[in-house]
Amino acid sequence: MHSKEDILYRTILIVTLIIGIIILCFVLSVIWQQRKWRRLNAEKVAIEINTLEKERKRLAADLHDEFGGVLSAIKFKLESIECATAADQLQATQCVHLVLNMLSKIRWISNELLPDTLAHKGIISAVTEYADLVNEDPELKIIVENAGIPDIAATRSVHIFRILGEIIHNTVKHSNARTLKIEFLTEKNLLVVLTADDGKGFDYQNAMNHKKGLGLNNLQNRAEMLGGEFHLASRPGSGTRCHIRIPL
Amino acid sequence: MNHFQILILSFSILIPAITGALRIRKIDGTLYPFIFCIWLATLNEILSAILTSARINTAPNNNIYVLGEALLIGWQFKNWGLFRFYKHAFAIYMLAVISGWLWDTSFLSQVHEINSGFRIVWSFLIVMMSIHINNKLIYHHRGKLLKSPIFFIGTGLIFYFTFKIFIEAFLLYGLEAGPAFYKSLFVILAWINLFTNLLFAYAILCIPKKIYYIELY
Repeated sequence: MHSKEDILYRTILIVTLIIGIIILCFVLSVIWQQRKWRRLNAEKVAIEINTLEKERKRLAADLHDEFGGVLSAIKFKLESIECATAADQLQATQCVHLVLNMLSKIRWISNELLPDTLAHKGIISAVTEYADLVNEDPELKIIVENAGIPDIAATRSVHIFRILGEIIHNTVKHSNARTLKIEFLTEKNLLVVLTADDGKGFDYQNAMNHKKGLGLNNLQNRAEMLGGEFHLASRPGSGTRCHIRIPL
Repeated sequence: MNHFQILILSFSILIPAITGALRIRKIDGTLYPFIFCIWLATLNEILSAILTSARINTAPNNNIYVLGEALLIGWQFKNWGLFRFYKHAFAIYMLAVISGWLWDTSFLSQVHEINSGFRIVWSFLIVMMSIHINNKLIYHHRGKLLKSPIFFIGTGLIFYFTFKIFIEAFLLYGLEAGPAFYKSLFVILAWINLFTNLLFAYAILCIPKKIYYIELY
């Protein structure tokens, strides 16, 4: 190379190096910002979910202990009234029925907020019980299959139950499905939960882009809070399938 | 650095090409256009090496490769959701790329000449699109960026095409420099090529395995 070309070549080499450093700084900045955002987002999601769960637990306990106790006392009082006339007796009996009806509704709401079965018998029994309740309606049949999963801590199983509760709720509300299958299995050190329905399906990307994906985001947040993953596959006309992986 | 050493650096494309071939059955189809693009680049490198050894001009096959690369990378960006803001955006992109290529190859230069004008404009577009995708990852990627294939492919594209614009600009305007000077430019590009190919190979290794689902019946 001539000396002029040599100077030009050196200049190019320096410019190349500077561009390389600028790109490297950009890349490092992106990594740093994303890491910061992920940490803040994870903290925010954990606080939101934990607050929600605490509130649900408190509400379920209050409903069960406070209202349940008072209503039971009212029922006994009503039953112990000695009525003077047959008409009064009829009124009292109707009141007892109303109280019994209310007690049953409180138990249902309390169970919806935090299933007793989940705490006492574990995730499989709680999901099966929930599925049995939905199966009373002939429009949707839920099949639960368990390939023998080990016990899961109550603090974790409540999130798995909520994820499945949301999937069942979405299937009932939006999918027009006739059948929903839920399968539990283990894979190495992971709990894998797979679901599939034969509903109308939807455009997943479109739902996420148009901010209809809030429920789906919650499912993902819960799975990630447990250190796991949530995947969903759906297309209009071909049902919806989910794949959840949670470390045991 | 002699011609053979530059050739060896150029053939570093074989690293991501082989990695892609080994992994393609196990990975999600979203990244297929990128892997097809790597294979196309490998074929072009092999063809160019054969033609160069036979002292035949490699500009025609390189020009055709650049068009294929532009279309495949555009398809990859479509799979990453870049064109979702407008339903005809992808069709417009494809049409613009084909028209730009035809215009440059037919009117501004010839098929047997390197179409630098098109390469500069298109490389600039790729860098912009890659920056956009990488920035989007800050808020939309839920895992670690250091394990994201999109991030590494985007970074590789930014890196390679920024330098390509720079080098192509010299080729477009000449400078009346001698062959030794141009050879030195290609040495710089060959090292950048090696670095980019290593990034691409790592990105392919980061692509997660296909997720399996159950069927109802």
